Amino acid sequence: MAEPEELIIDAARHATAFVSRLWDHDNNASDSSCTLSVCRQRLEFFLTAVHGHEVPVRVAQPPPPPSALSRLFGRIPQHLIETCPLPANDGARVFLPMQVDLGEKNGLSTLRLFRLLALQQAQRAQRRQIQTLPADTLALDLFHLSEAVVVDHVLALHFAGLRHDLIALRRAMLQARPQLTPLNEPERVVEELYCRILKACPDVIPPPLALALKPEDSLDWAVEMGKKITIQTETTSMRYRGCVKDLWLGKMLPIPTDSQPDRYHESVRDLPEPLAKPPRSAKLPRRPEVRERKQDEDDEAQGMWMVQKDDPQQHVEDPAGLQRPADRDDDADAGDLADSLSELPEAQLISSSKAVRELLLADDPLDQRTTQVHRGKGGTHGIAYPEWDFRVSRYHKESAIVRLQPPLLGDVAWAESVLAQRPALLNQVQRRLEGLRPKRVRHHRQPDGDDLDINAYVNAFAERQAGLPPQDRLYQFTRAVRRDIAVALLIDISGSTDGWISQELRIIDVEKEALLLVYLALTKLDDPFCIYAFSGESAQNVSLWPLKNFEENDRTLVQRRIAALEPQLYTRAGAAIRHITSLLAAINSRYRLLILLSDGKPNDVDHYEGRYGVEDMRQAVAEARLQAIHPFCITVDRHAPHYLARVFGARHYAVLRQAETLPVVLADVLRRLIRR
Amino acid sequence: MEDLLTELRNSENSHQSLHPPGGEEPYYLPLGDEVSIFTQCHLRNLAVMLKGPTGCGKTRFVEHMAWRLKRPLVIVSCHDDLTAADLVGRFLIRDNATVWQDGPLTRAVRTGAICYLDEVVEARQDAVVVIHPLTDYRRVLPIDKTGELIEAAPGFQLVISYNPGYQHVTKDLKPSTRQRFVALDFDFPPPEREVEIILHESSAERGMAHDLVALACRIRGLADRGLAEVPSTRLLVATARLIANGIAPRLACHVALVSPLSDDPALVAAMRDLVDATLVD
Repeated sequence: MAEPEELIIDAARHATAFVSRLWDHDNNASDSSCTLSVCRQRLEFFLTAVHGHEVPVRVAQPPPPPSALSRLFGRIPQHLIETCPLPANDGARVFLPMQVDLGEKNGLSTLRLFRLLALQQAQRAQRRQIQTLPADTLALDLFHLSEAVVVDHVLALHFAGLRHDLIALRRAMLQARPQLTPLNEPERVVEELYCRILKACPDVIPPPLALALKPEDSLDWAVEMGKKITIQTETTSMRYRGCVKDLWLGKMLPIPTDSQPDRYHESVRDLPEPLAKPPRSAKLPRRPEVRERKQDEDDEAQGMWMVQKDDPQQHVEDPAGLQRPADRDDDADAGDLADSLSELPEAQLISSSKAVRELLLADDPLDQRTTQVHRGKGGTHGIAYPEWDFRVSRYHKESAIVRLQPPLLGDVAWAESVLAQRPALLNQVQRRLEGLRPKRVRHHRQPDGDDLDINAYVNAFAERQAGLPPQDRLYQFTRAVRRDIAVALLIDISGSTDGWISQELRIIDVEKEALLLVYLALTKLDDPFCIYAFSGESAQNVSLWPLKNFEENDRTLVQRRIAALEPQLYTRAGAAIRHITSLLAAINSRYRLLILLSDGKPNDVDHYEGRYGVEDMRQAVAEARLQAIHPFCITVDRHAPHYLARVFGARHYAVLRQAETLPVVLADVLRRLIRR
Repeated sequence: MEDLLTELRNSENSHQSLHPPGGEEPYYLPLGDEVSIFTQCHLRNLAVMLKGPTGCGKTRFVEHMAWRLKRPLVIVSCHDDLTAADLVGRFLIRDNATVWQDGPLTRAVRTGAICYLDEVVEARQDAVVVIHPLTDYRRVLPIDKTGELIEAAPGFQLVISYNPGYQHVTKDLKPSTRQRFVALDFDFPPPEREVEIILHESSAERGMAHDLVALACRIRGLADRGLAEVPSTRLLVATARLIANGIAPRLACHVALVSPLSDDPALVAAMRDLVDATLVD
């Protein structure tokens, strides 16, 4: 039973979290019409065009709140405490605040401000070749100032259209500079220089600054100037503590190292167990920086234990007090955890294969994947396909592995019984596709053609003799109505197809029937087609079962494979679509069609769900389109219009109100698409 | 019918009027050895294939070479439905009788002209195969319907062109066709040359031409980010002409350079940002 103190502490914690969230909510409810998330892609395109290579734009994280101790005993003066995120760069990436606003009176709209800040930071990032920066704060700030001035100078020279924006930004920043009163002597010198820069035109470099062609020149100047300022102000024996950074100056982040998260190895009994409940999720207001692990941080050998000798032992289940309250509590609010985590300035990154309890979503997600996935479930070799991560607008470092599984063989009698039970349905499907057989057609009475149309000419001659108006359609040509089409059917057999749609039929049963009937009808058309089923679990095991290759022609075999289909695991649709796209791309047909039969949104055990899954699927469909493949989706998910219109485009998907009609609808869709 | 017949007569007459281009030299700024190579190919009866992006000057180069070599030029823009009959010719009806009408290729073969098949991969396969006997040592054009075997007149040269980046995935030249040509690769000229070309073609100011070329170079960096076609020299010339005639530079770039390239809102917005950052009105 919980102690009264624990109850009070718990209640106080919840109350504080609630109030602080309420406060944040009211304060952050400013105009969100033009945030970074709205214009990020536009800015990335813009920077790509300017620099000739990709410059990712990320969300700048707000500074960690200073702890009470650092406020009390720290030597950081009030005016130097950062309160809002600042633009920054780490040599490769540009970080911008989620929202920026200078107010209307400065004549710089939010979008133009974003554009300017992105360009400034990208240009500064391009100049960052120096790995070691001066350790001295004064020299570092001076170096930073010199680089900022040079970059503005370059921008003013090469982007004449930005000159006014640069001036407006400098003016706005000048108004917000701190008073000189709380500053000490060296800080005052730097502040005066800062203000002199902001007052000057961007194409002018105010003395004592000089045009530094290379960053090394800036560094030399900064070290030299730093020494001068120190000597000038030596009498006051005051230490330089820093200058106030604003949107114009921004920050210089350390160049990232390409380190992978430390793997946390579990013993066999710790291997992932299915969670009874889905993971709780909350928004992370600020993501801590990733910290490198120190050499002697995690000692293997255990040190001394401190044993509480008081009687009686109050916490029997955790004598050393090593667990956080939230670890024990399965119902702990994920929002509290997010708040606690966001207060840490930095944290170590660990990957684990344990089941996820809480998902804390930050504006700026990590590059690395933190979920370890156990290999070896799929016995066959895999084919790797990239996966799109919409949060960072690029492909994920780790790809999804498609494994081709040997299809199982089902009962021969199943196909016979279906055909015997549903002759009318087979008839309907066949009639719909029958009219599509290729044939050579002679086009008569054409205005132009390879041969003369003698009948047309005789008629025209007779009409002319009779005084009727002349005819000019006197030719004919013959064309084979060869459609030159290849079709791929991709069937989702994830666990959700186990759902019952009537007394005796599950979704998978309807899918199987539809496949069988359409398969029989398609074989009569002589167009190359293939049928694949897909499912899987995790990015490492996307399973594809080839039910019919483009070349295969054994009717009984294909029927038995269809008969053996049973609901499997999850739906990682992106990788499956990419594999089928690669198969279709190798087929030399003029019109290539990819039809996906699905029963819901893509999802998988890991983060592949919700918007992530939909965006990856959208990217896979876009890739297919680029290779001149026409994707189409048929689904029984009634919510599909919300997301399928974005994935496949309007009129490129069909939602079945009654799943039983799938065979006929599939035949109709094929007929419509093939005819087109 | 009368109209049709008049039209036929006119078109028939036009083949006799195939004559070498006279007048002013079509402006072309050579970027490498293409002029000398083309001249040698012409002298040695070799067919030429021009590869390059849209609007980089392939057609202008052929016009220039025809003028330089003093040969008539026949240009055929190939399309999906272009058949062999469209190239070789067909029977037409006139005065209650059938008359053979030469197609553009046959006309060029008879008169010894340069025949330029633009975007040849777009044409149907049967149309492309017709040119095979013309491009090897035989230099003949067999016409099935009349039973004629026309030997190419001296000076006849076949030139084809296509855009490797733009074509349909399923459309490509057959290897047996490719091997019959000397291939000249074209690309957008280097910035200084492109400025010269814009100055000559549009009478814009030099500073503006420089800005336009810088802008185009930056937009070309978006080629692999979803921009199907990058701004060509032709597009720059069109923009420069608008600006030279008094349209505000930013507006001219928006309408003549940015909008024609893409419909993707994010791409168009980024390109407009670039225009606004680079140019001042």
